[in-house]
Amino acid sequence: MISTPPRRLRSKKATSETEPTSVLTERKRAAEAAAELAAIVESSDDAIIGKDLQGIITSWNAGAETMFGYAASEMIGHSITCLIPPARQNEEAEILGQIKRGESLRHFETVRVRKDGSTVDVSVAVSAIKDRTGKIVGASKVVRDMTEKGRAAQALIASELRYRRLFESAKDGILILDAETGMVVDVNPFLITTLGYSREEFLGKAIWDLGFFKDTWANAEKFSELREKEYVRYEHLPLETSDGQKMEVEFVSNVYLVNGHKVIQCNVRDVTKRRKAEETVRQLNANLEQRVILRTAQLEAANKDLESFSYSVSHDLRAPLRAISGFSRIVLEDHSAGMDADGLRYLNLVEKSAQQMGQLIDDLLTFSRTGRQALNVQPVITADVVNAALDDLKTMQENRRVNISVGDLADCEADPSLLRQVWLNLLSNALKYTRKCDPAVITIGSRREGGMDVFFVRDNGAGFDMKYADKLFGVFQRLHLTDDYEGTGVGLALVQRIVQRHGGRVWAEAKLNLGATFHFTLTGGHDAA
Amino acid sequence: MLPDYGETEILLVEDNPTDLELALRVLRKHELANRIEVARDGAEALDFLFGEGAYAGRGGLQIPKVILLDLKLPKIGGLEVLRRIKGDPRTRTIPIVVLTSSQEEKDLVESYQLGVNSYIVKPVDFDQFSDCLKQIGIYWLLSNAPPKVNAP
Repeated sequence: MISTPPRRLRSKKATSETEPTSVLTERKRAAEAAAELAAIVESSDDAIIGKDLQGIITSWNAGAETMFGYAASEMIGHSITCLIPPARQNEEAEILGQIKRGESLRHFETVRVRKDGSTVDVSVAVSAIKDRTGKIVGASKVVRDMTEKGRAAQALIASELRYRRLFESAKDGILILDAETGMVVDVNPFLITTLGYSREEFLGKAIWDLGFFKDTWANAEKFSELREKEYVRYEHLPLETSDGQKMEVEFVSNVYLVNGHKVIQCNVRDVTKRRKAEETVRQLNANLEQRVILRTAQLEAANKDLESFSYSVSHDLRAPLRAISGFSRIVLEDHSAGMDADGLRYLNLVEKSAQQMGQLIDDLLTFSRTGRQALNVQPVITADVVNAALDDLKTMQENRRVNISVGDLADCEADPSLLRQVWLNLLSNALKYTRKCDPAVITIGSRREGGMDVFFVRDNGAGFDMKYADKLFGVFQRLHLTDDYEGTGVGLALVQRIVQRHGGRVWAEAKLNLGATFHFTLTGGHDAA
Repeated sequence: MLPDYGETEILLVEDNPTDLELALRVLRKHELANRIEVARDGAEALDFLFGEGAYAGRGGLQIPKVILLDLKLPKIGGLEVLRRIKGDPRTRTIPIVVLTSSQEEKDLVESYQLGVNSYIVKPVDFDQFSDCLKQIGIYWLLSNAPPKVNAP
């Protein structure tokens, strides 16, 4: 608004270089004091105007420029009456009269005119300016823009309204207490509706007299704790509404000063729903637990059923088989005299089939038992297990040439009897499928691979076509005719089950008529089944 | 002087008629079935031994040289029969051979815990079955030396 700052306060020029030093210093000090005063006057928002006893303006600060729109250069030397509306022209004479009598004027409210002709509500204070001899030579006027003040007041009202609205519309209950007396100063509508008490029932009552708080705030002692602590938080505070409904709230209170007076603000949040949700979650978890227990029980029952089924199979199916086998034999022994060759052959087939079925049942039961029995993992010297298995298979090596070479065998951790079964099955397979080889060559060993020991059995026997490799480990799966190589198709399924229960893996590579190699790992003996 | 074992050398407890017939045929063939008593369930076996029920008044306690006991029996099961015989001081000394189709580990373990003298799984193959029975008969009737009946 103002581009060039004009000189507003006259100050004496302290210049002459011929003056003595002491006088110079004196003057310098005076000049500094005047400059400081001028700066204060300049920075004031109020209009500060100096005038002589004739009402001629002698100084005009920045506040005056802002308030009235005149620059200092326009006003200094002119009469102040141009600021006074025509209806109030007599005011100036009165003011000057009072000043001349040595009286000063406290703030009085009046109206002045701006350069643009608009009026401004002001509060004016006037005091006399005296010269060194004490003679009144003029007056200083401090003019405050009351429009600004009004605006500030309005802003305050607006602010109060905003926060009031926040208080009124909050979805949390808010309670303001007098920290000295514990009396309720204010309560917001939310808390009123939530608890079902009227505003009157809240106001002027001590917090411990409010019905819904009685449990916790039964005495003033509790309240003083609240007052002392400055900050109190209760996660779950039980409250009771006026109609007897129980609810739970989160209660937070803060103590703060308002005009030097301690006030406690309490925020009350209804957590009944949250608590109910938590309770529901807890309930659901409990139900889940219950269902897991139930399922486990069902599984255990199913396992029991399976066990009793296996028991029946082993017991009840074998008896009729023994009868078939037994009586065909008796017929062959005692009554073969009158029988032709076909009859004899058929009876032999009956007996052989019964034996085969007996073997199937036994293998299946072994397979089922292997899946259920507990693992008893311990350190095992693999070479001992392999040698024992080879010893058991002596009869399969009789009357033929078999070259068995046992290489390095890493020791392992396994269930000894189950591991023995693995080696027994793999080695008997190797011996079985090399039956037509002369000589049979079987290589046994282990190698370190990917941080694991891989055990293997290699033979030069019948092998198989790799496209059937996925069927190799299935129960009752066979890749050869029973006529060529006998078996029930359980052996490798059993090997896989045992290896997997140890946390390991078994696989094979082979070529038809060029032998097969079976590899397996045992990782630590974690029951992966 | 030989102890008096009464009329019976073998008590065969077997409910399956074909198994029974096969067993009897084998024992007869090897002349081991001259003094054999057959019980078709556990209750009958106990009644016979203790002279109770249908066997009351037939001379009281019977002490055979050996009992061949199936496990899966009607009325009173084989393990219970075993428990009662081995639990009674009067019959405790009678050798009992469990002759069963069950390969279940728990049957085996429990039988031995109850004091069985031998546990044989009946082979399905008749040759093996008859061989097995013959050996049992010869061993317990001829080779084995039992204690005196009324020894404490």
